Amino acid sequence: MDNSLLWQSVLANLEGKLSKPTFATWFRNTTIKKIKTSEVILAVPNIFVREWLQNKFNKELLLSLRQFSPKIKKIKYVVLNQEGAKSQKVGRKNDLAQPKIEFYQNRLSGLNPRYKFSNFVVGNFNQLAHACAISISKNLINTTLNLGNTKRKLKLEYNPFFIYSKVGLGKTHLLEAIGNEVIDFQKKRRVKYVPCPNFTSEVISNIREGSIEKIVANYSQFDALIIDDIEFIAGKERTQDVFFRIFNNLTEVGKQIVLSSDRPPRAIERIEERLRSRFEGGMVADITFPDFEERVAILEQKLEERETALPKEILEFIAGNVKKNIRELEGALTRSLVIFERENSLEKVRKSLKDIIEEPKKRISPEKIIENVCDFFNVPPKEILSKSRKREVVFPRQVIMYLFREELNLSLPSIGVKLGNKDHTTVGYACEKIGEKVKKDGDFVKTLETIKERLYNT
Amino acid sequence: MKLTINSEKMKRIVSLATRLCGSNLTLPILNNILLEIKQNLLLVSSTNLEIGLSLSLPVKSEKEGKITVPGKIFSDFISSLPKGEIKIEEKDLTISVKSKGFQAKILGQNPKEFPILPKVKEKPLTQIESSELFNGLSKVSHIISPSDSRVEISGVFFKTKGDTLTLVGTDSIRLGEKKLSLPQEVEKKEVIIPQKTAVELAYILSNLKGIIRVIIESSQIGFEFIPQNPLDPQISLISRLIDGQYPEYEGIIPQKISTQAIIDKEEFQRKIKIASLFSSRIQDVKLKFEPPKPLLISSASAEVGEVHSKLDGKIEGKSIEIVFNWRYLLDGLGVIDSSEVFLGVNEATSPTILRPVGDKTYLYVLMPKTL
Repeated sequence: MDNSLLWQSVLANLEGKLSKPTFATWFRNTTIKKIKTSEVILAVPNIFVREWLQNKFNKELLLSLRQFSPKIKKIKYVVLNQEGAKSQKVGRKNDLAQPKIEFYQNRLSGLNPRYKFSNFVVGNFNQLAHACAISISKNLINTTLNLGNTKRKLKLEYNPFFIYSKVGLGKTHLLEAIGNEVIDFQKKRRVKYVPCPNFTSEVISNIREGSIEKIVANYSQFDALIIDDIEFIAGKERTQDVFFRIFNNLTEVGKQIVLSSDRPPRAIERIEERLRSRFEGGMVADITFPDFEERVAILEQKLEERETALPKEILEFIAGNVKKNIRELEGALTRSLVIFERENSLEKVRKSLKDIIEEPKKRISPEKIIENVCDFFNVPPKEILSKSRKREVVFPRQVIMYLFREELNLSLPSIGVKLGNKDHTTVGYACEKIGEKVKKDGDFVKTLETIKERLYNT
Repeated sequence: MKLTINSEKMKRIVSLATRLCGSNLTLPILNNILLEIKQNLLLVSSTNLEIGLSLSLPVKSEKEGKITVPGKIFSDFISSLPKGEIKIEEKDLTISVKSKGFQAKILGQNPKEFPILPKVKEKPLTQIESSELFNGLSKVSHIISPSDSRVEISGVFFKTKGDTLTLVGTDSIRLGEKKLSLPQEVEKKEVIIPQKTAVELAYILSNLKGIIRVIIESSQIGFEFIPQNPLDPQISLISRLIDGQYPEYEGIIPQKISTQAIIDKEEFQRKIKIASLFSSRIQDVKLKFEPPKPLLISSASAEVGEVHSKLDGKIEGKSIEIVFNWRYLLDGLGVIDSSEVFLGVNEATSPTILRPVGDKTYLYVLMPKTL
């Protein structure tokens, strides 16, 4: 009989004899930690429970334990803090405009030392980005060594390095890992990590004080400048201007620039052409979605960091259901850990995860897609369903097919049927064509975003 | 159980014990206090399952015994009694209290249901004047804000090293550090005491004189109070400790100061208060240093208007403008005892130091606001 089962049986025995509140107060969060031949080591949540069980229940517990496992002669009580499960008052909201004292952050570089290459899970989905990041950090470390005696420009192959992916797939992790790796090996290297919104507000406050030169000079001195979420620069002309100058100053002397964004450079709106072309001039790498095995590997890595474990079934359940965001994956993992610790049952974990997994995604109907797309392109829905091959009809029809496939997950033949008995190969071709367009045409991506936005928000 | 006691004395210990009686719904007995007579000693105990408190007083007793009674009603009743002797007697789980012209019966509960307070077994680590510890705790514990996400900073950091006891509290925007000297060198220990424990302990010690012995064991800490006046109660408080590693806070205390000011504390306090009247919703006040000119304090809001004031003092270093939340500034100033304060600033975005002049044992570090 394993420990948790043994303890459950003992508790089941006791539960009938005690009042509910008493039972809940004294036996919640107790577990058998270990059994050493004749001694049971019982983990209890606090010192009061220890005293109470030791003095009032020792005999009963021992008797009960011996029913199942006669060789037990003694119980030892140890206090194991489980702060996470404790309910505490939530503190008042911290002052938003007040920066916090960051105990863990490296104040100079702005890097969080938690993000390392060593705890970054590499898979097909991020292989390219990871390889580039590694090579950049190596390059930075090595070139430092002969910086003092040669005047030649440092040749860096991937400059700027531009990573893009949807949220929660590890951009920030990779970005900070580059910085941390370099700092760890070469303390003297001046690496700066800054999220774009912070950069923007810094520029604004400098504009107000009339000291633009100061910020340009300040940022131009770094050996590597890492800016996260660069898409925030969109529409902010002065910031773009300042950034452009810093960018040129740095690249001129071969200093590394690393950028991240939630979309490819060409899909960033309202950004000056000269910046866009510079972003594209370096190395652009994307991170796609991890597949099932990779998601499981990520979960295992996270568990290892926390020095805990969960049954494989739970990991697979999470990985099977949370597909598009590593951060959500971690959220689901945390939740499972807490619940599993408290309830010790797979079923309960599954049930509680349903709330996160089955997010009430707004249901959209095929009709709504047709209506919206037609409205957007200004063609009557009748035309879409007809056999018309006019260009202004064909393109919206293809977009509709693509959206049916992507958003509703319909099969090719059924899409064909819904759009006036088109052949499934026609549909397949349309989806492929639009899919290609999405990858290449930034303007079209914007168009598609607008359509989707209308679709989900009306 | 049968005893006679002065009502004032009883009032004092009962009201202290009742402070831990909250409204615990899962275990109603926690709203009770335990009264016990043993060898002419009255023992009053209470707990909230995080802290266990017991107070003892020598009394005139005729019969030993114990009972638990609802804390709130018992304490309210005792405190409204007139001065003089009261007689307390327990019979069949009911307690009767007799005083001049009063007689009350309060229903109690079986003491067997009451939690057993843990006891510390190890030798005291050190001892310290109770007024010193009170002073130290009250300078850092008010800063802490309870937080689920960062449990390790939701308590007072309690560190002994050599002959120094260091107490630290932070809410990640400001940090207070107080150093107390111990009578002799002690073993190095670092623990985190829950904020509630620190607040309760400071409250209990606020008007008692004596010495406190500190006992640290794994996952619990005990404080034993021995009164100077033998008629005061002996108190023992035991608390759980917060499991975790306190952040290495020393790193955020700035080592170099580029602008500094030595100014009158009360004047400064008053001018910040005035500025606070005009400050906007984000509670900002601006300090402008232009050494050697006086310090300029100002605030403005769109709804009210603006105010400017000057504060003379010893101002040195480079010119700088820096913005603070006035509440946090006042919090820091409020616990400084000296008449002059030292204000050390580096940059408008990096930690600032506030400390009493002539007292190196207290330090208040504060993050400025960035707009």
